[in-house]
Amino acid sequence: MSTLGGAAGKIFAPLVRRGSGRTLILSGVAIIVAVVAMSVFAPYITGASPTSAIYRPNLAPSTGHPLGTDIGGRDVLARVVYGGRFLLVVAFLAVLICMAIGVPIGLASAYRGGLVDRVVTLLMDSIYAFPSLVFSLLIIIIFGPTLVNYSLAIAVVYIPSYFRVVRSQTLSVKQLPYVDAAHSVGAGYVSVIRKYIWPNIIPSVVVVATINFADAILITAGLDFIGVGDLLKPDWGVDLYYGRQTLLAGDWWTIVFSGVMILITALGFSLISEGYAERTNPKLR
Amino acid sequence: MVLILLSVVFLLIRVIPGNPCLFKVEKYTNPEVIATCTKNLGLDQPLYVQFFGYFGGVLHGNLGLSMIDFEPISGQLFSRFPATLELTLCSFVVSVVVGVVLGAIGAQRKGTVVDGAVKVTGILLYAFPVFFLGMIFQLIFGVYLHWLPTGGRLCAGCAVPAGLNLGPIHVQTGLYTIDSLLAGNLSAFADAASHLILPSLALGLVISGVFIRITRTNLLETLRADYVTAAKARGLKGRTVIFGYALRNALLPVVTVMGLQFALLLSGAVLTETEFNIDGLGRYLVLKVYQLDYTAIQGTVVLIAILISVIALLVDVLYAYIDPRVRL
Repeated sequence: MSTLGGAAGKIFAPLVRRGSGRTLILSGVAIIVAVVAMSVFAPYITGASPTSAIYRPNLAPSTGHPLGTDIGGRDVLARVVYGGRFLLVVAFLAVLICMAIGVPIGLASAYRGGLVDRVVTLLMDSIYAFPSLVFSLLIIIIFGPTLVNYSLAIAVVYIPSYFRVVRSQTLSVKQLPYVDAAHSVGAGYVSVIRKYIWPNIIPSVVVVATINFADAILITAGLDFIGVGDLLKPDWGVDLYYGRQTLLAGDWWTIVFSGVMILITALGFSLISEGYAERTNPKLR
Repeated sequence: MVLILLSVVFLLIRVIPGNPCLFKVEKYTNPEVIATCTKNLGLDQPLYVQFFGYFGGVLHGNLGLSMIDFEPISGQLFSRFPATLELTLCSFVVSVVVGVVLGAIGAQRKGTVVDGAVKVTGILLYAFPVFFLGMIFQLIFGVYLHWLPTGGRLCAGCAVPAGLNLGPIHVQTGLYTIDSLLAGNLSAFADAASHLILPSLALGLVISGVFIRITRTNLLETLRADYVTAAKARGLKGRTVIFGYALRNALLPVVTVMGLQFALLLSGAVLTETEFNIDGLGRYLVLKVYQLDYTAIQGTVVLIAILISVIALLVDVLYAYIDPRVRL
């Protein structure tokens, strides 16, 4: 338990204690809390349904529809308020999957070294160098646009990021004298990794995980914008897909609000990531 | 790397429970027709036979025929490639220029409001969905101001620039800006260039977020070096010190990142091409993925993988050019 307590300390201390990066982290957290709250309490914010196409299409913002209606005659406010649910859940699942796979592989690969390490690194680097959106697109088309598949598609392209960070950190920590010392007094691999290596890696994993959140939102919204997903669900990316069709007529309200929501959500996670990066890396200050 | 990616994609797309034949024939046709079609495409053979047959072709530069319209893939790819190349090159220039200049300004005024603004701009640009930025540009510069066209590569109904035509020598790059210049057709050049501005700006600005951050960080570190202090002590101006002394060294890591940014640039190009109706590789891939055109998808992946490898090589060469300590 002590190591878990240490992990929580490393993650939450920057929120409480003064120091560089705190403003960035706190503003990011505030944004994310607001976005999540809006998605959770959506039914209390608007009575309109995001999917029922019962209004006149392409109405400009008015008192009846504060943000107007879209090309399908749906209330834009309702689409904006409900539209984050899918993206947030996909991103959350994707980050969990990535961590669960990327971190252990990185640790093991760096710790074992040798041929296994080289082969795994080569595979990871290949995926890393390939355009992530193209890869996710292929996976979504192949396995179908369900929520879990979205998360998997993002996980596949993002695992290499965790792998690279964890591997390089492990390699540098592994050769420190206290790790040798632990081995010499008979500590096993598992306990060395858990007690001595893992706590050193946590801050970097947090940086990668938060930027992973931001990218997951951007990739998912991008895929929905291309139109590969389920076009019936309320989703900011889908809103832009439809809004595109009326954009040149000047119907700005169909894209601006949903687009800004994608931007704000990705921004919130990026701010947190940048804050933690400043915390752990004095060069960034 | 090309081999690994190709194998992964090859296996992945064959897992799909669909079949390109289903796209060509009417739905609910006789199963025999579909069976014949499957046989003609060689899809009934064992996977390893298909794989080595295809891979042998790739090694000979033969990407095969499309499974939908039976045209050579290489021809289809190369008719789309110039559009993507033009877009990515212009965006790349935008992102590097914006990134390095803003990053340098931030580092120069470290700790001031300007620096803070540069930092936030960097994060904000990184978080911007490229298609949304493109839409905003279309809305402002296309719909409201009528300054710039909102899609395509040329004005509607305009002829494709001819390129250089000197008797036996015929040069046509497919890059419309360059072709029109070679043909000496300035109005066509202006047209092609005006169609490029908005998409390149949108994509370039989004990518520049990363460059801003890296330039700023590395320049700050370089500015702590002794030779910079020495230059300042000799009374040189701040700007001279930064641009004449420090920036070149600070750019080394930026060059390293450039190679990796190229993948991000291609991802963005898929979205930008969709948004601006540019007939490039990205839109081609999206279309072919829908049609389950196996050979076309594989061909595009091979081309992208080769592109990335070439860029990695170029980055290494550029590195040696900037840093004389690196010998190739």
